[in-house]
Amino acid sequence: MPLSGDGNGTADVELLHRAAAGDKDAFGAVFERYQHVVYRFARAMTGSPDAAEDITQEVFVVLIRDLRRYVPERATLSTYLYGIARNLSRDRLRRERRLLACLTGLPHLGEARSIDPVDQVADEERKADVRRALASLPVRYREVIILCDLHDLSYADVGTILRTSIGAVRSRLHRGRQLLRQRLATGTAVTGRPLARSSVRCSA
Amino acid sequence: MSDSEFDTAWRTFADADRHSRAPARVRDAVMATWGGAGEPHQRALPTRRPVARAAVGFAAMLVIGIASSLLVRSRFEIGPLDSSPDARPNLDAPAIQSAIAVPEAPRRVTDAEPFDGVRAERAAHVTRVVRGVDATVPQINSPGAVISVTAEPDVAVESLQLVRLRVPRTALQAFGVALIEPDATGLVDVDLVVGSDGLPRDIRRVRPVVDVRSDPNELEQYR
Repeated sequence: MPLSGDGNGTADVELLHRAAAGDKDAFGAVFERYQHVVYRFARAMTGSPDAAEDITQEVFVVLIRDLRRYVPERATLSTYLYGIARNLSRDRLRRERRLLACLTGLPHLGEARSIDPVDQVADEERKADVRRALASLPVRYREVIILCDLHDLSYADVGTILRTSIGAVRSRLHRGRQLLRQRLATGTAVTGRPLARSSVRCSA
Repeated sequence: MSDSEFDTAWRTFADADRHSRAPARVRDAVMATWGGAGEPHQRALPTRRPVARAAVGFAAMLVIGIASSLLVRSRFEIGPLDSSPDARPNLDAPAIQSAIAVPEAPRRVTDAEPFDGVRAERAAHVTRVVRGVDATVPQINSPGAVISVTAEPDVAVESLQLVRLRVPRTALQAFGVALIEPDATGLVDVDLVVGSDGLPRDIRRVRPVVDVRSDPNELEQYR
């Protein structure tokens, strides 16, 4: 989702003004527009759907509280929400360091689109492996890969969200992709243990 | 894992991630927060406002306290005694500048000279001195000088009595005053302004010191 010039800027500002004036429906529209972005980012960052739900809720509660603090000239609403989600995710990761390894052990079969049960299970295993490998990356690489490769943001937008330069974004992205590929290839997380063992250990 | 396998795995993961959304309960929780809080701008800065209010309240109390203290001090502090002749208390002046209620038949605790209203007026007229904050002990050397012996005198609204006492010089220390006179070694006559609670408010030395130990006849002459 592109951030700059996405065509929603004016509408976002208008919705926020109405929400700040007490229009609950306007805020509901803002929520519907951005909740999946925030949720996806938080889930990829934490590796936990439960944590992602909590963070998503917190992000929009913060938005409710600080509606009048948002300055459209400084950043788009999505950038603003990404920033809040990033801070909350980092706080959450600091509080619950084991969260990274505690990934969902059982795949969500309902999300698969393959009809063949065998392919379905294989897809879920692949997704679970990628999610575990992604969650095992250092945060500075993980957030860049999520924003660039999963959310398709430009380097400039990612730099704005992460408050860093475009060069740093490129560097982290390159290094993060290498690490991700290595960990998927070796099937190990940061601890050096096989990914499957990690999930078993944490599901206990 | 080959590049193709990695790409396949990543694409599968990215496709699934692209379709993931927060459950409806998240929206319900967020909107419940909105509904329970009223308009958003009314909830702005919820963690800082109590602190700011407390700080403003504390500052207001401080200002009021200081102002009250200065007001009370300005009402009762006329200034230090001036030894110049013009500044000496005029005991003949009839005006009563202090709202001391003088009883018609004051209680006498000594056999000193009879008390009358004129003397009470004179007593009330003299300069009043509040003990200074520099902790210097006020002196009662000059007859007629009235020294406040209480920190919070409010004679404007209080019914007072004037009582004459003959006490040893050392007893003046109990009132927080001192008598520094070379020959003042005996009894001292003082007028006490006593409040309705029985506590002294002001003290005034009305006669020179009579040293009965050195010359008992002087006491008789005094009487």
